[in-house]
Amino acid sequence: MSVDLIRELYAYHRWANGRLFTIAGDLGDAVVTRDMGKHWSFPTIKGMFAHLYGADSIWLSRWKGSSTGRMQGDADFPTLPDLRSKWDLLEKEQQAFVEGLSDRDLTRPVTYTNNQGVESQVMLGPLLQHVVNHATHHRSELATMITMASGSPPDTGIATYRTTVVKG
Amino acid sequence: MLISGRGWNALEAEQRAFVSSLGTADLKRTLDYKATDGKPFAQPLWQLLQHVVNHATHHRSEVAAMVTMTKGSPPSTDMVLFYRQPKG
Repeated sequence: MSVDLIRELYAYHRWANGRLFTIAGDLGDAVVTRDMGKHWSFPTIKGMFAHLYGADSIWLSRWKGSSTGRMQGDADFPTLPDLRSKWDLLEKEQQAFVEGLSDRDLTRPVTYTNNQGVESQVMLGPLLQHVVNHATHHRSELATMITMASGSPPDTGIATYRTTVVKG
Repeated sequence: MLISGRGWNALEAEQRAFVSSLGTADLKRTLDYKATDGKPFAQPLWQLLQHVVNHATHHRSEVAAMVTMTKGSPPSTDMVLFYRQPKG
């Protein structure tokens, strides 16, 4: 695995998140806090974004060896705009971390305690991939929730990102 | 149930053989292809390999929600769980 691939993956991650965040930001507080059913991982659009924030944040702290062990969620953010402003800061910190990596870092083992209290050890490279893959899962849910609320959002696929944004 | 075509298992075996045969240099190889609307594109293979997994994660999420609506939440397909499992 090459660190260049990881950096490209995170450029995609930021683009896809930004795309959905911008649309969700225009929906208004009532829509993003509306309960959309029990078949979602989290019942509201704001709660789903809060989960993505919590996951990206706790993983970044685990990679840096500074995890507090508590994953943030919906209740930590009074509104979606508040979440967005915190998100922008987290995204910058995550980008700086990814930009600072070398190929050698990807095979470094990361020891962490998961949300059930079980200690695990996984190499940094797969964990970096995990966070983007995890977000794609929940972005899919967000896309359907946004479709239910206001119509289908634009595509967030990697091929679309490469052909329309990076153009290469 | 699949009643025609070669089915998922055969495709998966072919995909796996393809991926197993790749060298690092192959990842940078440019692939010319036409999108389903006929538009031509040229992209390095690594982008398209990542795309296929990412694309599937999006739709697995939809399948998970649909399964949840039908009979309750399916087991997690989170990538970190896969990497935590002993290989074999």
